[in-house]
Order: sequence, then structure tokens, then C-alpha cells
Amino acid sequence: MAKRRAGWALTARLGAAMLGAAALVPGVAGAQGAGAEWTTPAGTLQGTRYSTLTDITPANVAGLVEEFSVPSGLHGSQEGQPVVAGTTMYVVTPFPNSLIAIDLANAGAVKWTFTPPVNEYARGVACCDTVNRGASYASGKVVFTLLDDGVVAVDAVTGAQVWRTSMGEPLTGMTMSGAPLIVGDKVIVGNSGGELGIRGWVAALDLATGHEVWRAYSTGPDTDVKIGPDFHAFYPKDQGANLGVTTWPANNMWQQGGGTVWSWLTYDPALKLLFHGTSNPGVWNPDLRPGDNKWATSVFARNPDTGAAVWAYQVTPHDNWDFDATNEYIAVDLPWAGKANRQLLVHFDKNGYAYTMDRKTGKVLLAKPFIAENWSLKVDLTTGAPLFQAQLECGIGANPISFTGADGKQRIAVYTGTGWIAGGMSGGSCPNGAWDNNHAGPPPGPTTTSTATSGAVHVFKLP
Amino acid sequence: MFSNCRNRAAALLSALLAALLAALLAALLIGACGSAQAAPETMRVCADPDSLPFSNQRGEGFEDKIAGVLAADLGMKLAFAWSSARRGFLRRTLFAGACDVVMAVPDGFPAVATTKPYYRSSYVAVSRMAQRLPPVDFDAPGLRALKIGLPALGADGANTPPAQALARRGIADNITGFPVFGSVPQGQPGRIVDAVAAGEIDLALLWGPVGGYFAQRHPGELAVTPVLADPAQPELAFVFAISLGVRKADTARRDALDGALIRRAAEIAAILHGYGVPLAESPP
Repeated sequence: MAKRRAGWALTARLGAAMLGAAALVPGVAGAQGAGAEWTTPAGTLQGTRYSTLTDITPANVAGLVEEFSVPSGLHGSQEGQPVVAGTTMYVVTPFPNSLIAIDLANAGAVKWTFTPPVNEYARGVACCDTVNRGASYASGKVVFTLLDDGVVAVDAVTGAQVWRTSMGEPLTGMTMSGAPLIVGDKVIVGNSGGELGIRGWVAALDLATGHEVWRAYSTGPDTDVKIGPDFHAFYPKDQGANLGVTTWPANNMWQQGGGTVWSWLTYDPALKLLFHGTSNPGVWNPDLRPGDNKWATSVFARNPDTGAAVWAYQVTPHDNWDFDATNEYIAVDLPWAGKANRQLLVHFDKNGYAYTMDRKTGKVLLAKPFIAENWSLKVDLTTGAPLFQAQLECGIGANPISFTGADGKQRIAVYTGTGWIAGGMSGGSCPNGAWDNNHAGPPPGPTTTSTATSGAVHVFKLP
Repeated sequence: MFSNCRNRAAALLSALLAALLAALLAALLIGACGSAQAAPETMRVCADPDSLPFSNQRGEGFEDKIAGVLAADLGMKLAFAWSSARRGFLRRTLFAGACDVVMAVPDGFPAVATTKPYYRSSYVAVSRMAQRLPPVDFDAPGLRALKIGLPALGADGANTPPAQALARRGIADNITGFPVFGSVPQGQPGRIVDAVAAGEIDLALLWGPVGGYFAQRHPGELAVTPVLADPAQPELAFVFAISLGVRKADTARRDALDGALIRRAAEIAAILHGYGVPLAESPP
């Protein structure tokens, strides 16, 4: 593996940081941050991406140097953030989705690499590069998805497969690239492929056995969406029976309606709620699917034990731009309107707005653009609906911001302990890597520097 | 504001024609690659392992057959390297050096050097002969009363030209999307044509070689008629000339292939005919 093509900068940078962290006494432990371990892609179940460790400070951050790097041997973008359990770092590569265990206590030595067989067919089907968005760790298992719709649990010590479950058939256009989230004894996963006329879902597997416990679809009748007596959408626009059918053309186009769950999930232990967004609707051509196209481009709060929806909010109705609503929903308690610790949900959307919501009810407390956008005038906090710029509703492909989302970068949020910032994450969003196939030229040559690949993820430190 | 939109639409259409549709066609039409390195020379064909009627791993596609004819003409052995012909196909194959010739790209496709086109086809309408439908007129009110099937393409293919023609007229409620991927035993992508024969839909609008090939499964039942234009969008191409593609620097190889295409034109035409590929006239 060594000295082949460089795989990612992420490992090196975060590796250095994490190694330092693991070797030193953690800082003040906080409910909203991760400690020496980093067991979900965003560090915590709540998705805060915040470390309570205090070793790296503004004063010394400039002095960070690369201690080691581990190449993936692959050209694909590296979207999955590593997880750390004990002093072992686990990294999932893009297709063919190997899991590499790296010993942080031993200068980055590779302990083992788990290489599952993955159906080659999936690589051709995947919409947007053959990325994987990372693993989760719990109870001695590292769990991640495979592009061919498999979910695997691997023994964190031995690297042996514990179970593998097939969630679907890549021949249909469905793939899996999202990161699982482990909530108690359940592994929550979602599918990908909303561009290819498939139907989105989120599902729970038993952590011990891999058996499917429940699956909730993003389109179709309420029973399929798991909307029942427990469901209370905050806004009238999101209330009513079977909106997953009635907001579509009459020909059951919801059956190909997208709304996949392809990225990152979060969970709030206090309210016992799982939060996940859904992708763009299908089919791709918006003019063939007049209507709001629920529940694509929406956010759900669900009971992780049953999948039952507790509330939902459609972020962008009739998503014409591939905005998705899948960027993570960060559960955090912050001062709000005079209240010391309001239970909030913070979300930076590809549509250009930053949303602050009451995570118990789904009420939008604040929705302001965090970047220049021109598809809407504002989000009406009374109705919860965005007000479209009428002149942009002019048919096929009129995508002023387009599927690149804002400035073409996925958004992430970082909890600083005192406030929020949005950070850019390059090399990740669908279109960034999507259209390379039309450009002639050789692939990037071998390199040993960790910044010259398309798969680099940059970790920013606050000024 | 309208003009802004129009401009954007026009810009997008250019992009579609230059890239998306081209990419779609390249994706759907697969590739074969010949290499001329050491003797005995091998024509390395990079092709989709599962995309009839164009190619499959058993060599049953018409592009596979044509590749065999060309290799024989050039006195080369034939070898295949398989890769799903969708996003990243050229990057993974031709540009990675895994193959030297792509069997099918739209003529003039800018990313590669193209031979002279060896066939020209169009989008088609597949319907039941017994229904005696008139030629497709996107503005005919009757079109809204028909059940219409379209390939449910994704980001790669964006929209086929017929889908764009329907969409701009707000024709949506009577459309069913069909998957386009998957092997023939799985019932895809020919299922859209089977659905016409079965009466599930009245009209399938799709790329000619696909429609013509799968219509052969229902001999004497289905009409395959060309759909050549949308009067409301004259800039939108429905007819594409298909060429072989090589790396831009590979002009000698392109020239050799051009020679073989001319010498073997009759055999190639017979292969296309056998696969039911509807041929479009050269533009005047």
C-alpha cells in the first residue's frame, strides 16, 4: 500500500491531531462534543463535529505538522471522516469500500484492511462518484455501507466480518454511500440513487445480527413513510393524509420519487429522536413531476426503535435544483430568546439557508441565507415555506444555483463551544466530481503529497 | 426575466447537446478499443458488460459484432475490458489507457477524436401496430390521452429530447418512468418496450437502437417510428451520428479505423439491420 498514489489528506491531518489528542489528557468533557474517541462521522450522535480536547489551541495550531499518511491507493474522493475507537482509526475507502484500521499509537501502522467483495455493477450505477461517507463504531463493531447496497459489521479488533446484510439491488440504480449511525442496538442506514428514478428510504438493522428491523420510505402512502398517530408536522403545509402520494402527478410517479437518505444522520438522546434529511426528488426532470414532491428534500424526526415519524418539514418544495436536504441536522442546546438551553436543531442547507429549528416540534425559529442565493426571496417563518423568485420558475434546468449547492461545496457546521460557523468541504459534493468524465486527459499521476488529490477533506480551525 | 430564463435555457441546451446528451449517448452506446502495440496486435475493446443491444460480456451486442469485423479487417486480435458505461466511463477506460477505441460516441464528441460516423439514428416512438397511432406530434391534444413511457434517466442523462419536449408542455400526468439499467434477464432496459406490447402503456419514446432492438421481441406487433424534432425547440437534436472514438492524439489509429469502416460498410450495415437499429437519413 505504501508509496502508491496518495489517497487523502484527511487521514494525515486528522491523524496527527487525533494522535496528539489520544496521547494527552482530554479536556473538559461536554455533552455536545466528542472526547478522545470519535465514534461517528461527526464525532457525536448529535453531529456536532466538536472535540472537547484542548491540546490544539489557536496558539499552536499553526505548528501542526504531518506525522504520517496512509494512502488508499484509490483515486475516488474521500468523503468519509475517519472514526477513532481506542487508539485505532478506521477509514472506509471509496469503492470498493475497504475498511482500513490504522494504529495511532504506532505511527500509523496499518493493523489490517478488510476488503469485502462488492458488486462491480454498483460502480457504474452510482450517481456521483463512488464515495463512501464513513463508518460508525459501537460495541466492538465498525459498521459501514457498501456501494452495492450491502451493510457490513466488522470486528473492530480482528477485522473479521460479523455480519453482512443486503438492502437492495444495484441493478435498479440504487446504491448506498451514506454513513450509518448506531443508536442503541440499532444501525440506521439510508439509500442513495435519487437521480436514477428510485425510491428513498431509511432503515434500521439490529446491531448484533444485521437483521432489518424497520424501513421507512420517503415517498408514498403514510403507512410506507411511517406517518401515524405520533406524527405532528408543525406547519399546515406539511399536514394532511398521504402527502407522499398527493403531492405528485396522478400516475404514481412517487414510486420513482427519490428522497434518498445518502449522507449523515443524527440522534438526540434527550428527546430520543433520530433526525435525517432526504434528497432531491426523482425523476430528475422537475417538469415531469409537478407538485411539492413530498417527502423529498425534507427533514424527518423519527423514533429510532420503530421508525415512526414524529414530525417532518419539507425544506425545499418541488426541489428543482438538486438542493437535497441531506446535510446533517445538528442537535445542540444553546441559549435562545432568553432561554438558557433551548433544544435546537441546526442545519446548513445546500439551498443556501441556515436553519435553526425547535427539534422537538420542527418549528423553524430562524432561516437566513448564509451565502448569496437567488432562488428565493426568504423563508416565511409563519408558513415555513420559502418564497420562490418567480422569474426563476421557468422550466427545465433553470438552475441558478443548481445542484452544486450554494458555492458548489457541501456545507458542514462546527460547534465551537461558543457559537457556530459553516465550513466548506471540498471534493465531496456530487457535481464537483461528477462531470470529470467529459474532460479529456490523464488521471492525476502518482504523488506522495497529501494535498494534491481530489479526495482531500480539509479540516479548518477557527481563527 | 423571461429572457434571462430563455438565455439560461439556451445555455443549458448547448450544454446538453455538447455534454449531457453526448455523455448519455456515449454511455448508452459503449465502446470498444483497439490497440496497436506489440505484434500480434490486439484491439482492446472497452465495453459495458451489460448493455444490450450495444454490448455485453458475452459479446452479444451489435457493437461487439462490429468490433469483431473491424479487428478482422485490421488483422488484429480482439480483447475486451469491461466497465459500466456511465459516469466516469471514459475516465476509467480510454483516458486511463485501459483501451484505445470507444465504439460509440456522438460524432464530433469533443473529448475524443472521432472517426467518420458509421451510423445515424434518432429517437423513436414504439407503439402497438393495432392502435394505429399517428406520428408523434408533441402539440397534438391526443398525446395527453396516451399512456407514455420514458426512460427514467438520472443526472447522467438529465432528460432525453422527447422528455424535454413533453416537459415543456406540462405533459406529466400520463407519463411512466422506466428503469434503464440492468441486464436483459432482469427485464431491463427492454421492459419499457415490453410494456407497450403488453398494453401497460401506449407509447414508448426512447433512443432508436434500444427501441428497435427490443421491439424485435414482439414480431409483427410493434411500430417503431422516428421522432426527429420538436418544432418548439429546433435547437434540440433528436438525431445523432455515431462514430468510433479514440484519444485525441491517436490520429493514426483513427485513420486506420476509418479505412476499416469504409471497407466493411456493407457488413456493418447488415449487423445494424439485424439488430433492428433504425437508421436516420443524413441531414441535407
